[in-house]
Amino acid sequence: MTTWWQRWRGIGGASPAIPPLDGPYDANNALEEGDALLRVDAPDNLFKVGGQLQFTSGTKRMAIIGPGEAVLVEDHGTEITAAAGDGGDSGVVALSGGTLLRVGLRPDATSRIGTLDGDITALAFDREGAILACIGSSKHGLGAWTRDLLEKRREGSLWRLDPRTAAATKLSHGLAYPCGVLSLSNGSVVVAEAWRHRLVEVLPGGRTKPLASDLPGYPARLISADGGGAWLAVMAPRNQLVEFVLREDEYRNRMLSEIDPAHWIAPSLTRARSFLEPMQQGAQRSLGTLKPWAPSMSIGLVIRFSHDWAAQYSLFSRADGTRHGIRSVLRDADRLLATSIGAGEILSLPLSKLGERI
Amino acid sequence: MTGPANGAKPMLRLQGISKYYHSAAAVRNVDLEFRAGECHALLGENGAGKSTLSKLISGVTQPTEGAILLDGKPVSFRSPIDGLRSGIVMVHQETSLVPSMTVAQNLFLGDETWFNRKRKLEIEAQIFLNSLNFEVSPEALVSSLGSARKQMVEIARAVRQKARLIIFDEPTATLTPEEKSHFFALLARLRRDGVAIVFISHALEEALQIADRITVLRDGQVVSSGQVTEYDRARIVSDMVGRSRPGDVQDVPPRKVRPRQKEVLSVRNLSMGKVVRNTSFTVYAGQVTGMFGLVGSGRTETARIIAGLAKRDFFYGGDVMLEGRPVRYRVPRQAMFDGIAYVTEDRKHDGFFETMSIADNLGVAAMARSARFWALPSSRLVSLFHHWKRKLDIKTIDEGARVVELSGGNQQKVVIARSLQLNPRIVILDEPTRGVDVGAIAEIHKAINALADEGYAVILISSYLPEVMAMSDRVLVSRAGKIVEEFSPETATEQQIMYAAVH
Repeated sequence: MTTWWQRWRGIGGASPAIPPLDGPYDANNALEEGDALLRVDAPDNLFKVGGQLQFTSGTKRMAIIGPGEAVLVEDHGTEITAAAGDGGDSGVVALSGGTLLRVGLRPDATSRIGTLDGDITALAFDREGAILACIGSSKHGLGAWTRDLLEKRREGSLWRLDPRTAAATKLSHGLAYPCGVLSLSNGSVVVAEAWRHRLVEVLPGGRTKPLASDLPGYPARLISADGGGAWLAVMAPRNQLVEFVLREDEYRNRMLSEIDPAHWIAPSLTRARSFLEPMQQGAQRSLGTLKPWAPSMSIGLVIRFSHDWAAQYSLFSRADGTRHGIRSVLRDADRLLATSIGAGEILSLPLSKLGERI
Repeated sequence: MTGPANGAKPMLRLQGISKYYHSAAAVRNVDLEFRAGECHALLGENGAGKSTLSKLISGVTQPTEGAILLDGKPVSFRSPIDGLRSGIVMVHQETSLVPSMTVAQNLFLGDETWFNRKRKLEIEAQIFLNSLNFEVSPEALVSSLGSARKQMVEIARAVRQKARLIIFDEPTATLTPEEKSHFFALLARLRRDGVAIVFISHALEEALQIADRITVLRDGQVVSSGQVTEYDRARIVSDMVGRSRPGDVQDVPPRKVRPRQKEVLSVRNLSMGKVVRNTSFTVYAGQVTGMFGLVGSGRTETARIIAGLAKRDFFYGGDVMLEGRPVRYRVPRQAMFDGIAYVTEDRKHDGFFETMSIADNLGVAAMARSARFWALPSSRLVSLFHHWKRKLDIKTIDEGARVVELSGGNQQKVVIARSLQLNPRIVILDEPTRGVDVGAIAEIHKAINALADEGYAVILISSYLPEVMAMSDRVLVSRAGKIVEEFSPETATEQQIMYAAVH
């Protein structure tokens, strides 16, 4: 009865309201003004192996050797879905389908660890050296993440793998598309649940405890920050229209079955470029200029959290920018690196200047 | 600025005017002249005697001593009607329109014929309002108008009555910058037509801008009077308060922005008709969140929804989250119990019971907080009075003084005290320094800062940009029913904020 009443009036749980972008989420152009370290197609999964900065682009694993320069380390032949460095000379890479590989500076250092059932969306090492792996959805692969959202699935899981024996333990399941994982120095594990817009601590027994709720977007990769706290990449913003569509089951089911996925009303990693998508950004276009505050389907957003998981400030690329779809971030000495899938760039932002914003 | 009629014979002259209430002198031995086609600014702190003087001129009250000469002949106005017949009109600070009547009916009030056709009145009113460049619908009920529009109707009524001398009491307090420029153009036109203007204002810059002659009052006496060219801001302030630095917003030294504490209030996609349109913002404890916008940008309405005084749209009206919990108040009492205090912009109508004493007003607030509605013992009322008198520095003789007898600044302090009496978590102050003199503004600002320092979440709604800049830790800008931008007062400029508010 309550649900029906709320749905009829569009209130409570059925409200399409989204959190305001103010306070710590006050929009700025920090990402837009950052330096482009490298231009490359669909960069993702920044990590460090033996002091070398590596990232993935489709099936390739590449290394950054200088500003604007990168070399191919290895082409794995299959889409790379996640990667992480162990802080030493090796790292781990997940291929589409769930295969985990140990990797190093050269291709001959690559070896197979094991396989999990599903596309791995995030990887990290815990303080004992075990691998933490998130499977976003047991139903859909990484490429079908919008379908997973629109089908409102909650079929993600978190696993712990022993890198020597490949023995896998399921730490939690029923997660709403976990897309980022971080092991804290006190041993606890934090997971970014994208479809529930929150960060949770995974407790023994698989239960979860929310640390930061009601984020203004779909959280992705998570890394620790200097002086405690964390950096969170947010891959896409929440949007009232999407929230509304998520509540309209009949409409959504028809859209999923009849419309080309490129034209679904769904969050996106890239700015709309097709004129066939007027609802996405064009409606906020005035005299040929896109309003920066337009409620777009894509955005660039990185959030800095304090040690007690309160958002402190954010870095933005707004609706009129291009550096959208930030899915991974990495700390490298005095700078923060971020991958923008929308712009096809790896960004470099000086941490000292970002700190001034606190 | 030099007036067109300098050197002309005075139209109205006050000779040795005094007015005593019981034994206290409100105005003492005042000699003043008002000339046709001249704008004469009367300046002074609240309680300086400006309003009393204007009441004496317009016939609302009669002088105890002295004489009023109109065109050289002594006159005695027994009532405002007498003044009106002689062409003296007063445009009040608190509007004197009939709220249940339309704008057109108010304009023609007192001028009705035996048979009045509403449509004809409205057409005539429309033509007249258009000639003044006032954008007010003649069909609108006055009760539905905002303060600025009410002020416009009030001014229009005075102009329509073909006044020879118009007294404007704080005419620009509620006007937007654009409306102000229209208003000043209107004043220039009235002066050209030979109308004498008495301009009472706390906005000193405006007085310097438009007046031909300035008179500064203090404690009921004329401190100085002369051509506007003899004055600058510093001299006026020093004459007004008898000291050189009253500490108004322009004298506040730069300060550090307070850090955010926990999120207290989150408003999401709030909508109410065409007034509040899909607005979202967050308020944090321990900070003053300034809300700037032009009149009509939906700030007051948003605050009223939060405080349970107005209702959001029935369908898809958005969410108000108080400390993470969705709330929707049917009556203000529920909001009050949840710790939301709203200090109204219209203190005279909504802020206090003017004929009751300060102590009784505070007692009513205390009773509202209690579940049982039991009247408080008088000893408790007295202790409440002394507590708030000390805390907010309310200037009054004793607890029995009626609120109506206080000056604007002290009335405002009583309203703030009533709200704080509720022990709130969020304090929403809507135009807290409107119609308040320079000295009291500084004291109210001090009280607001103290609230934020004590950990209250304070929302400060103001149309006065320097005030918002000086007081706020965050500045939210409202335009057309929606919060459109957030600025940090440390980095933003007045131009940026004004641009966001207008475009």
